[in-house]
Amino acid sequence: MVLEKELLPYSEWLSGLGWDSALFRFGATVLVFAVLALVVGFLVAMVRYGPLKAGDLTYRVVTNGFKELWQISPRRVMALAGLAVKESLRRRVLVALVIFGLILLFAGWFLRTDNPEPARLYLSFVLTATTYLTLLIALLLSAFSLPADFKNRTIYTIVTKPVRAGDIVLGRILGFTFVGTAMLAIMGVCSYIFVVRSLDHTHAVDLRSVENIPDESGEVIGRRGRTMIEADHFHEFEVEADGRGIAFSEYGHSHDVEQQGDRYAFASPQDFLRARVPLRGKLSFLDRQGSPVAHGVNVGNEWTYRSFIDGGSAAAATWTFDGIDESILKINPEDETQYLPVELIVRVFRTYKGEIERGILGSIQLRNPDTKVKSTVQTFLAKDVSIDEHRFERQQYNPADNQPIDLLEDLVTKDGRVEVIVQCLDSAQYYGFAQADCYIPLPDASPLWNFIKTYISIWVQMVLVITIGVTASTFLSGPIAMMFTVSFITLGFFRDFFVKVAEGTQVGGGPVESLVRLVTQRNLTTRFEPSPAVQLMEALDRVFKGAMQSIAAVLPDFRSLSTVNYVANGFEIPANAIGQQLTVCLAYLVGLSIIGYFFLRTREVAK
Amino acid sequence: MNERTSYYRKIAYGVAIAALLFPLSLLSSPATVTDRGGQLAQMREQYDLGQGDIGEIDPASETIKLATLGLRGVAVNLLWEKANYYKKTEDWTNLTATLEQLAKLQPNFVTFWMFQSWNLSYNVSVEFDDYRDRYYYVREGIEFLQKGERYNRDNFKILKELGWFIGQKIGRADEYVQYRRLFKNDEQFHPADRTLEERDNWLVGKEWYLKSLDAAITKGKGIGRTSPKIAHAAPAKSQMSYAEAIEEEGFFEKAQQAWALAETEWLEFGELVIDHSTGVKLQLNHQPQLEKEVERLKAALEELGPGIREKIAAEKRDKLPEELRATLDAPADQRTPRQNELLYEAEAAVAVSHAEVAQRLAQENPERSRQSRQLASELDDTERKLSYTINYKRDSNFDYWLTRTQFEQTADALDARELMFRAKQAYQDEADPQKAKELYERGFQHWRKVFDAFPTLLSDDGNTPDDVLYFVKDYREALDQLDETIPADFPLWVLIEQFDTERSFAEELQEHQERQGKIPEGDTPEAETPADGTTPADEPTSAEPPQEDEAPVEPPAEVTPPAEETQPQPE
Amino acid sequence: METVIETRALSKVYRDFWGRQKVRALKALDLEIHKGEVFGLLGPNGSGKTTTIKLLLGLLFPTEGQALVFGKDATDVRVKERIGYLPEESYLYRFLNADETLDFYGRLFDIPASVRRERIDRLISLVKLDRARKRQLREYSKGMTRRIGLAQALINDPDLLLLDEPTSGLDPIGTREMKDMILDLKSQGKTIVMCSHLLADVQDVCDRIAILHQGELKELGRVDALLKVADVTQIQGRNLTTDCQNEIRQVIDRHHGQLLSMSNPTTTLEELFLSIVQDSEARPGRRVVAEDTSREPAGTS
Repeated sequence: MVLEKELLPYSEWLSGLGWDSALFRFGATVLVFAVLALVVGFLVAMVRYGPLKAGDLTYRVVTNGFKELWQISPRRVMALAGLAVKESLRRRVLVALVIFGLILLFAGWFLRTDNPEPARLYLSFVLTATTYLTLLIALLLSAFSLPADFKNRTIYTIVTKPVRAGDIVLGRILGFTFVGTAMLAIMGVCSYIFVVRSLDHTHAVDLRSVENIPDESGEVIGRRGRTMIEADHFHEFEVEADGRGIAFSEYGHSHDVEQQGDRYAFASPQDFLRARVPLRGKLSFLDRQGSPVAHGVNVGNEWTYRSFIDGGSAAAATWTFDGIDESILKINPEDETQYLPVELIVRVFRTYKGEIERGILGSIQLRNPDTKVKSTVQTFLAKDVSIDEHRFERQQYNPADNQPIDLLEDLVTKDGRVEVIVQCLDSAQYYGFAQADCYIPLPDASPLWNFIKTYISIWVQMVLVITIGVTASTFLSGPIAMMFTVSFITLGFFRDFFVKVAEGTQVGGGPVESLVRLVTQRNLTTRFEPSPAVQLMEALDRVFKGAMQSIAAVLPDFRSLSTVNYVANGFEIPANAIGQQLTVCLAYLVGLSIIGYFFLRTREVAK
Repeated sequence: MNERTSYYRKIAYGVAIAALLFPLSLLSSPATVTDRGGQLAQMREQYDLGQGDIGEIDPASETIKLATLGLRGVAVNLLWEKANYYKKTEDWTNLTATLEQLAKLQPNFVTFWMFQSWNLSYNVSVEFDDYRDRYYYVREGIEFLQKGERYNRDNFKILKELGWFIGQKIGRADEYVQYRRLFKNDEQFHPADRTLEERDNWLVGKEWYLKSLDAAITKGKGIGRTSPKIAHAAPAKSQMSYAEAIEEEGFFEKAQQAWALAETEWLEFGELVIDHSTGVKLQLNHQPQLEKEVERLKAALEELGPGIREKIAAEKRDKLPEELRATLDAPADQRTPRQNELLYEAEAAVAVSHAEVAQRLAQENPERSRQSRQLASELDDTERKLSYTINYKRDSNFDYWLTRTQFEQTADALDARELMFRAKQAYQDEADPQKAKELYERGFQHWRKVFDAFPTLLSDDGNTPDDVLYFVKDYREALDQLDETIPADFPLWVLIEQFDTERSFAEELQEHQERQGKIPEGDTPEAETPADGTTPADEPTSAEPPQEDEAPVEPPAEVTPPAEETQPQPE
Repeated sequence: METVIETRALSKVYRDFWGRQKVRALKALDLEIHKGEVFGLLGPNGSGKTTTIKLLLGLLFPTEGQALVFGKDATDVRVKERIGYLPEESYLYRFLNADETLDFYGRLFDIPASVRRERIDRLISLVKLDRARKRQLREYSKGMTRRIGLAQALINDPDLLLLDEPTSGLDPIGTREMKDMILDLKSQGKTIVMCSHLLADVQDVCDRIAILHQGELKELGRVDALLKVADVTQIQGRNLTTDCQNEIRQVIDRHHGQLLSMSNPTTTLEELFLSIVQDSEARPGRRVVAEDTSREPAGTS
């Protein structure tokens, strides 16, 4: 699968040194907001009441605020949450479930089974649909609830009770989260059943193709054949003498086969849903001459995710793995030997077609990072963009002197590090790699639990939207709060682009320049002749870019919150990723609730 | 404003709406059994604007269009963006899924189908390393286009494109051997009633071409801006490609039949009346008739006033300024540069048009004025038609392909092909250069006979000599293995002399010519001018045979054709 | 006497979005309301009585001055523990039933579950909604809505009740019952502030009233004192002989009086109210200084 951003270890991500650690950024943001809020609040009060009273008011609001934050009562919050739940049900939130049902019913209109990765397609679809629908519900519920209370003046009866503004904000967030969670759970169960049932199929056998498999002595030890086409694919299969066998993997799954007389019974597909657990390494490159470089060669792709190494040269891609010990080795059931499995995805780039029906030859080898002792070289023909397993037997031979060496003793360092070196052997052909393309497979995790995890990340997105929506609705009217939240989400989804514009690295300039280019129909790269007007344009853009940078600092990166890709590609979602998401969610919840509290507290409830 | 005025205003609006709707309902009332319906309904019928007239009505598509609540444009834009993003990040599964969604949203946007199916077949497929994966996406593109065809029935562009994809993308790719094999065995693609024999990409492609012509001509949809000489030649050309392909795969008897069919179809194409861009109707087969007709008319005009043309020419010549006259008088090899410049002007000044002849005739014999003028204009028309015909024939390389279909059916050609095939097998599969050499040599004898029987093969813009030259290269490779060189009695030296544009046989040729004593030792063979009058530089320099649709090298001398006809016809 | 509410030069100016002054809704109001009394705020529409209530509840922030409830600022959340508020219209969640409504507000006071249940039962029978307790409020009549509104205002057993137009929309029987309830609450020692423009109601239940007009306090005092016409004595008697009557007449004659009928008449509150409004409109800005003693009603001389 594609991992464009490296996942940092949790502790490093949270409190690592430097500007990018999550805690630091949270702290900085809180500080900036606090100072800003104080200054703006004081100024507004000063205009209204004069400096003395303004100082007094500001002081009182802040001190009361901090006092009241500790007076949040669970009973009040739960009462308000319960109210929010009832209100959601009143507002026919369950219609969303009906819509979801309709989407699933008609999903077949879009989804074709003849795709070689049907599971990926179905999962992507179902999870994306769930995400969008959930976010939409969260948006509608959260943005309109408080403003409706203001409009109906039901808020009068709330705030004349000893309710803290924080109770109101938290109660809403919590209530809508309950509703959303329940709906997500229902959608999750439906989606899971939908995916499993949609992918379920069996095969009939093409009886003409069935033949006996003889062993050396000519005795029949099994039969093999192929199936009829079902769900746009067929399998080759083999059954052994005892009538049990397997239909080989095709379109991302296999079947168990049982022979019953002349008939063959195919069980439901296996391995459609997987949760591979990879042990990931760090990737580094060597260039043609064998000296270390930061990246490989660019073969002219716009997408620079993978970089390439030249074939038939010293160029190599090296992954360094950590934490290798005996527990990671697998056991070959046939001869009880231990081996280290390495799974590799190779992207091939040919400069000439060469032999069309033969893949590009490459080699893979283990090396001890300290002693530089290497394992036997294994060669392979690259299977482009599909996962290929390479096994390193425990018993290896040192290519230097052909003496036997032990994989764990000699190739892995004391602290459990080992290097995997991959080279391309055909000259003038290229292999492309990204860091996520090579890993050591650990035992698969439960696909169901993985599926649930992806729902947790959808849940996190939902809570974020609810929090933003409720906070916005403490000071904006319903439709405006919705627009505000929508903008926040949209910008969050396009955060990368937004940041690029803000930092000026996006071709085409800032907002004003883009507008000028649009109106004057200039393309993205034409230069402007220097003139006062252009200077004005650039100055305005600098202002905008500054503002955009500050907005970017608080924007949640919705794309990176999505873990759909993991599940769709059959990889386990790292607990670390979920942990980070939950932490981010908590940070927004805390920050935005406080903001919401002050907005509600300083607002005149009546008109 | 009080309640009453607002009430009246509402009434007024209601009346206005009704007043506008009433004529609209009349205009758009649908056709019934007895009634042709309103004006709009009739126009819709006339221009095939009804959804049912365009193609399949898909309830899914209609529902989804409705579900966008009028934001179809926005949705489509987003999805295109997404499709581009997925293509960039090599997420083919999601790309195809997105295209599927787009297809539902804009099923009648023909360019969408053409663009995205091209994307799949041509751009996505090459991203894969395994030829089977590549074939999968080539087919994916074709199937996508086929779906587009169902939504847009009888669309010439899509049908023609299908013919092209299935024929050219599979049959002309680097992996054509593999693709053709996969295509033949592709049970998911072919309908069950298509025999193994018919599961040839060229034949299937030809079917689509025929369908495209059927839609264009029989159903009157027209061929748009496609040149008719290309549109109509396509099925026959597919037939030839089919014959060529199976010959290469070693099915010679079937190939002979295929070539026979190709000849018939090519001649039918020649007989077909096609529109020239000026509106003149042409039949490519009719060049000889036209030439005869021109002769006859010229003779008739001459008969009316023998010698008049020469007389006028002489008069014009007398009136010429001294310099121009000297230009004309000077022998071709002694003209000064200045005279070369003036030559065109001088020749134009003394050229005598048929109309001038007719006018003079009318002056001299007023009673024959009508007859002579009529003759002259008829002559002009016929000459113009002839020149157009010649242009079109040259553009489609008509004569070469005709000769090709004919010679390929001869026993010699078949033998030659078969021997080449067996020689290659002997060399590659059996690793027997000696046997290969012998087979090659026997084969070249047959090739010699073919070239003797069809001498135009050496002068037409065809790729047969180049093809044979490849065999010669293979032959040389076999010889190299045996440490031999091309013998002096090699029957096809003429090919090497004339068609070795890459000069890969330069050494051998020089030796040969020294043996022949044609040129002094050490001189290069470059000074030789090839027989057809073109210099090597004019020939296409790539190893590829010249494409049939490419522009000719030179216009004929007699008439300058209209400018646009010298350009290659854009697809 | 314990002071429950105190306002000091309480003023409220409504401003538009740009901060421009729109209305001076309340001008320097000084009030003191004591424990155990029923205090009425009177005034025509737009006179500032609702604004006063909202300021006392902290729903609005004063532009100038101060509103103190139980000695604390009105915006202080803690004072709300002891306040019950019946809004002008019942701003309750229409999708809840009576039980749920009371339970919900009870939870907002952080009342433990057992106390809550007991109180809900008591209040529901008090406002006579036993039969309708499981029906959603959307189905309630106006009278029922007022009653559930009162019940929710009483859920915390408040010391101070702020009633905004408590009898509006009620039929005569409902009005009577409401007034009885108010008097009953008073007898329990609760302080009640109500605003109304239904003068008869105020007259019946209030101990003291303040009359507001155009944001200004016009009159303040005990109801009985305010309504007494001091320069008129009304004599009414039973079993008076003609002699006795003559004797009285003579006494009056001697004092140069003129006997109309022998009694101390009271004016109606309506008359008082109208006269104040007339006076205020005739001479705007004049502040009627309120004192607790009887004085000459304005504009009757």
